This record gives sequence, structure tokens and C-alpha cells, in this order.
Amino acid sequence: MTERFDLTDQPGAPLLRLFYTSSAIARLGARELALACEKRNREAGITGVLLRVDATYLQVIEGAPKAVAETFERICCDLRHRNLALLEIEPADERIFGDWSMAHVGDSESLTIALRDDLEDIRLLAGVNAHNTVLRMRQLLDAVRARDLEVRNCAA
Amino acid sequence: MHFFNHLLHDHDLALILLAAAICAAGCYVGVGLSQRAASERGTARWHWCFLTGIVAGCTIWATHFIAMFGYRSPVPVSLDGVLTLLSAHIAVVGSCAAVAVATLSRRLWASATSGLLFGLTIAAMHYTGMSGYVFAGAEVRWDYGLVVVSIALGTALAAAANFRLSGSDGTKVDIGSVALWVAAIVALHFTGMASMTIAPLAGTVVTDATYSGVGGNALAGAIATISLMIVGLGLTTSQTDRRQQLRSRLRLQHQAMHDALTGLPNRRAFGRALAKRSAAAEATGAAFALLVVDLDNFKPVNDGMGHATGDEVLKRVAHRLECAARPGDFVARVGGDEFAILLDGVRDSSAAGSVADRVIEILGRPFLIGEQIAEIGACVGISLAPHHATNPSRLVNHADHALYSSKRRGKGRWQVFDDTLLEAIERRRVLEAALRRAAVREDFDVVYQPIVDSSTDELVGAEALARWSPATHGAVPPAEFIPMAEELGLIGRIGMTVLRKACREAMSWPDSIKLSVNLSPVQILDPRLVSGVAAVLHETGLPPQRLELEITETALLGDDELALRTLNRLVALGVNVSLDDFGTGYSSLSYLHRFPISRIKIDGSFVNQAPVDANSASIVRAIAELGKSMDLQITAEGIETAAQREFITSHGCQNLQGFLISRPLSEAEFSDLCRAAGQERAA
Repeated sequence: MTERFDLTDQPGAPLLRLFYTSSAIARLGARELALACEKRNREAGITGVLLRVDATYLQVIEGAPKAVAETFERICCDLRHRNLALLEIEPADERIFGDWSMAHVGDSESLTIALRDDLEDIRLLAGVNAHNTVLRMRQLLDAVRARDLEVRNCAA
Repeated sequence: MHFFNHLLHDHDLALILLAAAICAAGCYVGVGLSQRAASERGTARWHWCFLTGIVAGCTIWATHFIAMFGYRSPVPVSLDGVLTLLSAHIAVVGSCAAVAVATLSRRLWASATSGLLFGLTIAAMHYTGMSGYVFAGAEVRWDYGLVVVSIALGTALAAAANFRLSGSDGTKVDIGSVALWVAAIVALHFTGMASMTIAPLAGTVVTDATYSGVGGNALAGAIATISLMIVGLGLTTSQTDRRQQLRSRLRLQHQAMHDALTGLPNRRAFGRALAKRSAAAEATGAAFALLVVDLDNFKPVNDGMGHATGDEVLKRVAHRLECAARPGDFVARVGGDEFAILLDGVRDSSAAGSVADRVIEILGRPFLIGEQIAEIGACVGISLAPHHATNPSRLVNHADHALYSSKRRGKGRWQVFDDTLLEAIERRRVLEAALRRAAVREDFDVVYQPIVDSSTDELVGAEALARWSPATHGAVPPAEFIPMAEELGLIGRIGMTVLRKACREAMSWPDSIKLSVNLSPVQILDPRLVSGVAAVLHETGLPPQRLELEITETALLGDDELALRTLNRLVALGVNVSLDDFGTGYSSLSYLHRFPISRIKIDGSFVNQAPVDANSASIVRAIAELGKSMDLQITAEGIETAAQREFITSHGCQNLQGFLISRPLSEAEFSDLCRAAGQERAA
């Protein structure tokens, strides 16, 4: 039992957001994992992000409390990762990752050096301030999206 | 022989065989239904009796009727409709009555009465039916001797059948009873037929058997068909019912072997599975591993978060265990928060250990239930068959011993059984018994480690230390017997024994010498502590100011409100409270503020490394500074070298304790030391 997480300050909040990290034991990429759960997440109204920094996964899931609990239990039953640490769970009024049923960053070979640095920063920040880490992850997605747009525009 | 010749000559064999087949089928259904009726109670039983009676009655009647079709009458035959119908009614009503009587009791009177009724029913039906046959132009002569024989035979066989039935358990249709029913019907019919002679009157043309009267034939055909349908209906009903019973029996069996909450096999199913594998291991050496999984921390979750949450946790634990086990492994719930896994084909500890690792990993993850998070964990004990044993209860024992030892080592551990575990457990068992005895006999020694003033070297006090040397084992270190006493609930008693002894002995020392006595965290939570200390002070006469009680930070971690109240009441008695082992635990400054503490004791481990290790040195310095600013006395423990002493003294610790000053001394030695110190002062 734990009192680390206080969920009572916003009773009846429509959403729950959960952030955990774990270490990978299988050579399973973030893309593979994110794609595997995308359909189910869309159906359950789950959004979020999955980062892989070397052998560390960092995942945020947000959605209706019941859906989040079910998704997290499924994650907890998966033994393809170890050292699962729940860093934050908080009620929320709105989504941070509403545009992504499960965004994934981390195993593309084309990561820019700036992106790599960002990922490393995020991993270090996770152990210090979970809430800010979640916000940084959103900024990272925005940066990736802007870059992709730029790439597409250049190509055009 | 005459009898059989007569039979063969007078009857059409095909129709006789058909009658026999219907008779056998009807009796089979009837016996099955009557067993069913006997197993029911109340109204349901009467419904089953009714159905049985209808089937049995129709069987008797249809058998008779079809057999009569096969009878070659020397003269034309017609049927009297009223008598024929009456015979059918007699058969049904009589059978209902017979079955109802049979279900009343399992005693002889019931089966005898019922058999008698049944036999008489067959006879009455037969002879009423026969009187409905009108043989044109012939005289019917009866051999009354044979009539009596037929009734006696039918009744005796029916009674035998019902007697047999009363002893059957009803799980299967009793074939013996079926045969006796058939025998009763057949014997009565053919003996009855043999008792009858048809003598054509003079002038009648004797032809082969012919039935005259279309009405009679139609009636006969209709009733025969309906009878067959009723027998069929009875058969369908009893089969459907049997299948339903089988299904509900299977469901009951499933319920008996599975845990209702988690759906896992239960303790009983586990016992069977283990026994089966053990037998295979014994016979062929087929290896398997037994893992017993015990949840850590489940009780506080269950008590603190509600039983509904606890139940949900158990359900999820069950599912997670199935995820952690390999496909085909046997996972069972064998107790409240205890589970077991059987791993087939696992011969060595490393393979079993890797499953145990997965179990511990998966159960160590949080459970998000509603908006609450439950964190539990698990320990696993492992035994291997056939390596450790092939006897199921020994395997369970071994795995339990391994579990016990893994739990002692901390949370989230697994342990494979080995023989040294048994020795350790045996030693502990013996020590526990000895400790209980010692607690009752107050069989503990107290030694005193001197404490000196760092600036003047003057003896200022002593820390009382408990010593226990059971006759069988020699001295047992406090680090072993104190936790044992805490677990066994003996620490309060032992603590008081030591306190009383120390206070009494301190009375013979100079007034300037203070006495420190340790309190276990368990004692702080004991509501009797304060009155106990007060009683000891009163009893021994030791001034409270001379007594200092040492507590550790762990004592303040749990229910700190209760701890605070207790400490405040102790201070109100006039005794001092000091914080022992400072620096090793959480060392939270808030403790020093909130609790009425007047002294900090710096743990020996820092003192040991202090002058050399920069880190330890800065800790010692920080604690000393803290003491100064918060107006707390500081004692440094574990001083072993002059360098340490110098370092500690230079940082402003008032009191010193350690082997450099003196080892712990017996009461006599310490008294001598006090006397020497007194003389020195006087000189």
C-alpha cells in the first residue's frame, strides 16, 4: 500500500494520466510496441506516448480511469520489460497527448543529435520530476512533428 | 417341455420378440425413473412417481397387448373395448401406487408392499385384459392352479426387483432390477396364457388366428402406439434429466476443485495434481518443481484499502501468476494469500528460479484498482522432485521451509530448499523454545559498557546490554535473539526484565553515574510500557533522572502519533530519551524537533571511518553541529582508536563509548570501576 500518489485532490476528474518507466529485456522497439496496442488504444480512448531511450521505456497513458487501469494492468502482465516503476498517476481534466493514440519515438535510425539529446534529458528528468517530464515529452512530440512537416515541405 | 412347446406352437415368434423388446425398454426406463423418484423429495417426488407409474403401466400393458397379437388363437377373436381400456387403467394406477409405496422407505416393508402391489397390478391387468378377449365359438377353460402360480411368480419377482432397487444408489440404472421387472411381467403373462385353454365348440370352423372386428383392431393399434410413445417420452425425459444431472455434477465438481474468487484450482485440486506428479516422479523419475508463493504486505492492503480491493488484488494476482508461469504450468490458490505453481519437466534450481524471478517481478508491480494503488510483493519457496523428495507432503514441507527462509531474508526473494535450511530451522526452533523459557525465568544477564566524558575522561554512565547464554547453545548474540523476541512477542517481557535488573544494580553505583537502557520499537508501541517503567523506578528506587531510555528511528516511523504520546509520558516521569544509531536510518531532522529527545548517539559505523573517510567525517561534524544548535547531548559510539577519539572530541561530542574506553563489563567489574573512579576523584 502506498501514499505516494494522492488522487483525492480532484475527485471525479474525467481523465487519469499515468507515467511509468521500465527497462527492456527483449529487442522490442518502441514502434513495434506502439503499433501493437494502437488499435486497442483507439477503441478504449487511450492516448499517450512511448519513448525508448537505449534500454529504457518511458510511457505515458491517459484516458478514462477504467481504461487506464485496464491498460496498465495489461502492461503489468507483460514480462518483456523489467523494473517497472510507476512514477506518476494523476487525475486530469484534459489530455496532453490527445493527438496520438500512442506516439512512439526512440528507435528510428534517423534520430537527429538534438532529438537524441532531448531523449537523454527526458530520461534523466524522469527520476527527478515526473510531472515536468510528461510536459517535456509533449514538447518533444511537437518538435518531431514540426521537423517532419519541414522535411515534407522541403521535399515538395 | 410341454410348456415351451405350447408357447412356441401358440405364438408368433416375431411379435413375441417385439413384445419382449418393448418390455425390456419400458422396464429399463421405468427402473431409471423410479430410482430418480426415490432420490427426490416433496412434490417433485410425486411427479416422478406419476411419470414412472405411467411408463411402467404402459409397458406392462403394451407387452401384454403385443404378445396377444402374437397369440395364435384357434378361433376368431374380438376385443371388448371397455375391459381393454379398464385393463390399461389398472396397469397405470397400480404401477403409480407401487412406485409411490417403494419410494416411501428403503426398508423391507416398503419394497415388499410395493412388489406385492406391482405383482397384483400385473396380474389384475392381465386377467382383466384377457377377459376382454372374446373368442368366437369357443369355450375358455382355466387351470386355476396355474393362475395362482402365475400371480405368485409375478408378485415374487416384482418384490425381488423392488427389494434390489431399494438398495441401489441411483447413479446408474440397475440392470438387475430391470431384468427382474421384465421377468415378473413375462412370467406372469406366459404362465397366465398357459393356464388358459380355448376349446372350440362343436361346429366351429377352426382356422388360423384371426381377429374380427375392425373397431377392436384399431383400438388395439392406437393404444399400443400411444403406449410406445409414452415409453419413449419417459426415456427422453430420463435421458435429458440424466444429462442435466451430469452437467450439474460436473459443475459441482468444478466448484469443488476451483477457488470461487480467482477461478484457479483450489487446495484440493492442487493436492491431487501434486500427488499425480509425485507418483510419476517416484515411478519414472519425471522431474517437476514446486513453487509456493506467499504475498508480502497483503494484509495491510486488505485491511487498509477494504476487502473488495483485497479481493480484486487476489484476482489480478491469479492472472499475473498465470502470465508469469509457462503455458501448461499448474497454478493454484492454496490459501488466503498463498499460491502454488507446479512446473513440469523442471529438474534444476536455475530453471525454477527463473520462473520465481518472473513471479516476483510481476507481483512487485503496482496494482491500480479504481483510483487506489496497492503495492504488494511476493516471496517464493522452491522444492524439486525427485531431487528433494517424491513424497507430496515432504515436497510441500521443503518448499515451505524454503519460503520461510526467503521471507526472513526480506521481501521479494526466492529460495530453493536445501538440507542446511533444515539445520537452520531446527536451530531456530530450539532457540525459540529456549527463549520462551528464558523469558519466563528471567534468565538474562546484563552487562554494562562504560560511557565517559570526552573532555575530563570521567566515568559518567553505562549502557546496559542484554546477554543471553542458553545452556545448550552458548552465548547467542543480541542481533539474533532480540529480533526473535520481537517476533515471538517476548520483547516487552525481556525488556522489562533487563530494565529492572539494570535499575536495581545501578542503585549500588554513585549517584553521578547514569544508566542507559535500550527500548525496542515494539516496546514503544506497547501501551503498558509507561506504567511498566514507572513501576520499575518505584520498585528499585532509582531516581528517574539517572535513567536514559534509548530508542531507534525505526520506532518513530510507524504510528508516530502513538510513539510521540508514549515518549511524552516517559519524559513526564522524569527519564531522558536518547536517539540511538543516529545517521543510519532516515535521520530526519523533524524527529529531533517533534520528539522529546535530549541526546543523539552517533552510530559506530561513522565513528569507525571518521578520521579517514571524508564523507563519514562530514556526517559526524554535521551531527555534532546539529546537537550544539538544538541543545542536544551527543554521544559517539564505537570508539576504537585514539585517532577516532581525538577527532570526535575535537568536534564537540560530550560523551564517548567504545572498546577504546572499555568493553562491556559485568556488574561486579563495573562496580569495581565505579569504586576506582570514586577513589581517583577523592585523591
